[in-house]
Formats: sequence, C-alpha cells, structure tokens
Amino acid sequence: MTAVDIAVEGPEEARATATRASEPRGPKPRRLSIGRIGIYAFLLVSALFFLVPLYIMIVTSLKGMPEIRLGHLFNLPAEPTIQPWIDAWLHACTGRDCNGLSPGFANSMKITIPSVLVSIVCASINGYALTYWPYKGANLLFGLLIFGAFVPYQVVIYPLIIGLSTVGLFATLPGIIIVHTIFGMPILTLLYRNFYAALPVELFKAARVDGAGFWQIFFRIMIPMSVPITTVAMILQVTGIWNDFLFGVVFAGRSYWPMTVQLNNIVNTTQGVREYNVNMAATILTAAVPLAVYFISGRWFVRGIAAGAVKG
Amino acid sequence: MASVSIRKLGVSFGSFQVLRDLDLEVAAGEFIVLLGASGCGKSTLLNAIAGLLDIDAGQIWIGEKNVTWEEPAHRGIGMVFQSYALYPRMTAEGNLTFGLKIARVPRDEIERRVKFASELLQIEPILKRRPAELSGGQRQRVAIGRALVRDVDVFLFDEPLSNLDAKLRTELRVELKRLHQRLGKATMIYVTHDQIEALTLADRIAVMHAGVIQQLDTPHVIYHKPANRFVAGFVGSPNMNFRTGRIVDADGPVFEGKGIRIPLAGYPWINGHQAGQEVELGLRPEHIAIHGDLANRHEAEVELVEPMGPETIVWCRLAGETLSVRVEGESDIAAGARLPLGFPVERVNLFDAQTGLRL
Repeated sequence: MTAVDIAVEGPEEARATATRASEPRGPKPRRLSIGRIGIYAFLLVSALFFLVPLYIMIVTSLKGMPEIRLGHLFNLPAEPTIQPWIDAWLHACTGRDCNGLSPGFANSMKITIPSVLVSIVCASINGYALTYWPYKGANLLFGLLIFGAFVPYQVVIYPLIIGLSTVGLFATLPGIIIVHTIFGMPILTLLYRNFYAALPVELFKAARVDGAGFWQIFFRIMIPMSVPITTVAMILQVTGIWNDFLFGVVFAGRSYWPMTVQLNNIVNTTQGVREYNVNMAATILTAAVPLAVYFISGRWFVRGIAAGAVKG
Repeated sequence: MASVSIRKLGVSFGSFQVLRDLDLEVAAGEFIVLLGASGCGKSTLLNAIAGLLDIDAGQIWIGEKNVTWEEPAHRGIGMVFQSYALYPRMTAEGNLTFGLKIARVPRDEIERRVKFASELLQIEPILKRRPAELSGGQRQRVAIGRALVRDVDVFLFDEPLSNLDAKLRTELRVELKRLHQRLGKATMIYVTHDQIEALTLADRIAVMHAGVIQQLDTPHVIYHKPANRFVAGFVGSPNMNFRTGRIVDADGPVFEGKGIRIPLAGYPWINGHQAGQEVELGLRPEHIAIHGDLANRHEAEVELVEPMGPETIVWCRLAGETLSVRVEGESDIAAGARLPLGFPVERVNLFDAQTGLRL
C-alpha cells in the first residue's frame, strides 16, 4: 500500500526505492512464523519444567523452618539464612553420626577421581588397540564388550560381590574403583574406538614408517589428538560416577559411602523433624559437582560430540 | 642406490585375492609409476612394499636385502600419502624430526637433514607452523620433507597430488620431477590414477588392472604401442577410437569394419594373424589426419566441436559410430560439416578381439 502511494506521489528516487523494496534483494527479511512461536513456547515450557523445581529448592534452602511451615512454596525467603547449608555440610545426621555431608563429599572425591582416570586410561588404550592393532578375535572381543553395555547392573552385582570378597577387595576403596572402571569400559571403549577409527589411517601408517611403535604412536600421536573425546569421556564418567548410588551403597563399604548415599541417609531419616531446608541444601550440594562440570565444560562437550559425529 | 624387487607377491583381503604372483623389478634410481583405476591393487602393492600390510606369498627385496619380514621403519623407505598424514599436533619441524628422534639420530645430524630438506623444498619459513595453518601445497611439501629427512634410497608416493587443486598439482608435479633429478640416486615408486602424472613423471609406467601388471614400459611405448586392449583404452584422453571388425585377405591383409576399410600393408606386426580373424582396431584422436595426403580416406560428419585452447577435439560420426579427432586450436571446423579423414596405417593399433593382445 505505502509502496504504491510513494510511487504515485513521490519523486523519481522515491519510486526507485519503492521498486527496490518490492523486489527481492539483499538479505531475506526474517519473519516470526507460527511455527517459530511454537518452538519458543515449547522451549520456554521445557526450561520452566526444569527450573521451577530448582527455584523452589534454592528458596526453601534459604528459609528457616518456621517460614517453611507457612507453606508459601514460591515466596522468596523473608529472612534469608545460610544456616541450613552449614547444617547440611557439617551437622546433618546420618544415623548416629552428625557430621553432615562433608565426609561423603571427601569419599566421593576419593572414588570419582581415580575411577575416572583409570577407566579413561584403560578405555583409550582399548580403543586404540582395537582400531589400529587388530588381532585374531578383536572384533569378537569388541562385540562382547559392547554387549556388556546392555547388561543390567543388578544382574552382575551378586557375582561381583562374591568375586571381590574372594580377593579381599569387597567394601574397600580399590574395590569400588574397580567396579566403576569395569562398568565404564563398554561405553568408553566404544567412544574411543569410534573416535580413532574416524581418524585417517594414513596417520598411523606414516608413524609406522617413521619407526614409532605401539606406545610411541599412542602417546606421541594419538593422545595429543584425543582432547575432544577425552573431554566427553571425562564428563560422562565424572557425572556418572558422582551420581552413582547403587554401586556406592553396595561396594564402597560404610567408611567410603559416597555423597549420594549419605544424602539419602540424611533425607530419609525417619526420626525427629523433617528439615526441608537442610534437605534441599544437601541435595543442591550433592548435585553441585556434576552441574559445575557441565557448566564449565559444556561447550567442549558439545564440540567433542559433534567432532565425533561429523567424522564418524 | 637401491633397487626394488617384488618376487611372486601375493596379497589377499579375507578371501579376496588382490595380488597374485606379481613380479616387478625396479632399477636403482628409477622413477616408476603404478597407474590404474581405483581397486586395481596399485595402492595395495605400494603398502606391501612399505610393509604396512601382511602379505600371503612371495618376497620383497630392497637393495641387496630381503625385507619381506622387516618393519616399515627398517626397510629404508620414505612414504608420502595422499591425505598428507601430517601429525596434527606437531609443527612442520616436529613432523620432519619425529621419526629421527625415535631413531635416536644425534641432534646435529637431525638439524643438518632438516636444513637440507627444508631448503630443497623451500619450507624454511613455515617450519614453526602447525599443519592446520598450512595450505594444501605446503602440507604436501612438508610430507615430502618428512620422507626426505629419513635419508633413504627408496621413496613411495601414494597419490600424493590427488588432493590438490589442478593448478597446484601441475606445479608440484614439475617439482617432483626436479626433485628426482636433483637427488639423482633416489628410487621412486609412485602410485596414481592420473595418466598425465604417469606420462610426465615416469621413467617406466606399470599399468595395472585387476591386480595384474598389464604393461611395464616407457611412457612412449605405453602410449604409442599399448600391449593390449586395456592399456590402449586406459591411457589417452580422449580415449583411443576403437572399431571392431575382421582381417580379410585382398592382396594382403585388410581391416574391414562397419563403414571402414584399411589395407594393413606396412602395419608393424608383432604377432601372427590370419584371414577372418576378429580384431579390434584402435587409433588415437591425434593420429587421424585431416590435412595433406589422406591415406585410406573416409568421410565423416562433424557432430560437435570442443575447442580447448591449444587444440580442438572434433567429434564426428562415421558409419553411425562416434569418432574423436584432435586438430589444431585455430581450426574453423563447424558442426554439421563433412570432414574427410585419413587413417595412416603405421599409426593403427590392432588387437585380437578374443585375447585383447596386440597383433
């Protein structure tokens, strides 16, 4: 409409502009279509779905018990206090001990760090050997390993208990580390094998011609190239092992119960008052490590997954 | 100086036999090109020479040494790959020195060799850069340098120019030839599917097909006297023109095909022939005459003209079949014209229709 008006009334230049505006030229104008609105609406709802519980957890953990009893779930704390957090960390009771979550945090660290390192070292060597040094039955072994990823954990727990207790490692720190390493092996080996298989095989050949052996190629050529996939493996393992409850409660033994088990014991205490604020604080504290890992390395995580996806 | 000798080599992948009873003698200092389409076994042969795959049968000798069971690094070879295969996390210099450091070559000797190779290939300014920061041509130079610093007598090239763009490929091709001349004593085995590379670089070409060397000879003989129908059809662009027909006897042997008749007096026979024999006649586009005395004159209709600058390809129709003729670039032949053609008998190639062998 306006274009026509200008064309009729306006001088020469205006008419030229009018034609230019009506003809497709330059970047295509973006329009907000119904589909796009739908997508944004869906994203918003999804975000709220996950963020509202987190919001409630945070505000509750900052309230005193009298305020919580009023029942205004969504209200911001009237008298903010960090006492619940201190209690959760140092004083909350798990059964008879009232040392809070801090011993669990230390245990989880002692379990997670070595488990992650050992499993990643083993899996990367596995993946490298399976890709570049195929031996008789290598494919069968790889198939069996992958099959292991589909075996429900509960099925193998009892045999594992017997096995570990036979060698005297049941309910010890090395025991739980071994268990985590074993269960991380299928998925991590798959990850590394596919990553190495996607690299040009000529790289390996060139290194052979240069006289490098099994370990030299691994350490000098492959490891420096494995940063993206190792980031992915690290994130998977840190979150997986940190969040683990089942293996921790079964294999770690009382003295090495990880944070998740202690959190469960705090939250599910049946005696006394149920301290919602302390429970919320304790839960957030337990989830803090995987959350931090995601926030810090999420960018690399996506990049690593994408790198593998494009090449594979 | 090192010769390479392949004796009765057999290689298979699973139940598929890629190479069988393959013999190849490469003289010291020779530039030999293995030419063939993909899947013909040329890269397999090269990898077998390098020791990068397991062989089933036969021997490989390099120099005076039987290296059949040797590790790749101990065979006295350097290798250049199509994808460059540079170590991505090392600088160009790191790539050059990696193998030397593993072999515990003394530091000053490493420096000397890197200096020699980088000067020869003009890569001194880029030695501190990572492969990702190099152009394709620079990467391939570094890859060649990595083979050079090994101070070996035999160089293996696996389609080293195939990943480069056309212009760069021509440049590096010339440089490779110059490199071979300068090194003097280096034996080079070069795998390619590009016949121009083969014809320009090689002292001798081995044309391979289905795991068998079809012909092993100088580029000139390969091009002008192909040993069989496959070689004749594979080398040359546009393709050699082929006509099926038979030899008839009319005061001496005469080739008779559909709409074409060429008396064969003066043909350089290398094999016996008889009247009535089914044969295939081949004639290269540039050997069909359009000027002067037209021997065995035939007339064809011009269908299409492709000017290429220095030359023009004229596509004609003769007795219902297409025929390509290479003429000079300034030619003014137009589509639709009738063109008298001459078929000089001394340029003709005859192949037995059954065996495909040159007659």
